[in-house]
This record gives sequence, structure tokens and C-alpha cells, in this order.
Amino acid sequence: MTDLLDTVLDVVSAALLLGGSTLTLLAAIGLFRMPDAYARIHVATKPATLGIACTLSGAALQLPLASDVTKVVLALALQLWTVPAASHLLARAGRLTGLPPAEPDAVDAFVEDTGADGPGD
Amino acid sequence: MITVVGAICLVMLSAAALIAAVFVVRARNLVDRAVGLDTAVAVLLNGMAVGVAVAGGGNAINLVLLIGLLAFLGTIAVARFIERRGAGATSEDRHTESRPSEEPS
Repeated sequence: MTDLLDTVLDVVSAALLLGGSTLTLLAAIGLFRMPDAYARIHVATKPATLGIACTLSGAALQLPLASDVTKVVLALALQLWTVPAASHLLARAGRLTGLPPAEPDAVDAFVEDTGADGPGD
Repeated sequence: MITVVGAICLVMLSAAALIAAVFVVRARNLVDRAVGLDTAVAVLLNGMAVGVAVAGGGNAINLVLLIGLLAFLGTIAVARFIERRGAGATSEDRHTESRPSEEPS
């Protein structure tokens, strides 16, 4: 019974590790395939966040000590909080300093809400 | 089995780190560069998590926590800097001709 449980945990953990690494690789490849900085922020942040979540969960399944598992879960929670906030700040900084989007005709909620000029004007 | 999986993961993460490094060098503006460095940190954290999984514990767990928080602080600092100083070259994409006078050095 314990052997079976160990095998199942190993397989699930291996799948999570492989999935997380694949997502991170896809995020890095996506950096070169996106047309502008905003799309790059999007493509770098979302797979990276999910990738870190997958990899840390897979690592937590391998750890024997409860204290180590707690630290990994804490690191995972902090990543899930801070990574979207940081990428939002970057996109905001780019937008406020007039970094142009790849499609100038795209809907810009910032302009619609505030009546500000579009980027590059 | 977990050792083989860890080796495969680290090969993929090495490729991702190389791609991110090339992107940071070739980036046209500061936002792109910060995004590339964020991706590099994500690759590093993934690699450390894989290492923790293979080793079954160790000090690297504390480092995962620490590096994640430091990366957040660094990204915030870069974002504040960009808001004050601008993102460098702003009016062209990587497909158009570069204007070296506006490149951040």
C-alpha cells in the first residue's frame, strides 16, 4: 500500500515537474514571437507563474519533512501574489511613458476611461 | 525515476535560460529588458525547485523564497525607474530601423 502511494506520488510529481519546465520554456520562446512589449509581458508572466506553481507543487510532493513542505507552499503563495503585481507595474510603466502597442487601432480602456491621449501622440 | 525527470527538466530550463539571456541582450527598450530578466528569474526558480525535488530537501528551499521576493522588489524598482525616466527607444519595434541615440546604454 505504501509502495503504491509512493509510486503514485512519484508519477504525479514527475508530471508536474515536466509540465512546469515545459511552460517556462514556452514562456521564453514566446518572448521572441510576440509583436510588442505588452504581449511579451503577457506571454512571459502567465506561463511562468503557472510553471512555477507546477514545479513547486511537484517539489512539495517529493519532500519528506513537513517544515520543508510549508516553506515550499509559502514560496508558491508569494510567487502567485507578487508575479502578477510586478508585471502589471511594468505594463503600467510602459503605458504611462508612451510605449506603442503593435496595433495602434486596438481598444485602449485607459484612453476610454480617462480621455487621455493614446501612446505616441 | 525522479533523477531522470530532473535531468530532462534541467535541459529544458537551460534552453529557456539561454533564450531569455539572448532576449535581454537584444531587447529594444527597458520594459522588454525587465520582462526578459523576470523570465530569467522564473527559470532560476524553476531550476531550484527541480533541484529541491531531486535532492529531497536542503537549503535551496529558503533560497527559492528569498530570490522570489528579491525579484519582486527589483521589478518594482525598474518599473518606478521607467515611470520617471521613460522606457528608452519607444517609437519602433524590433522589425523597424533602430535609432541608436535613443537606446539606453
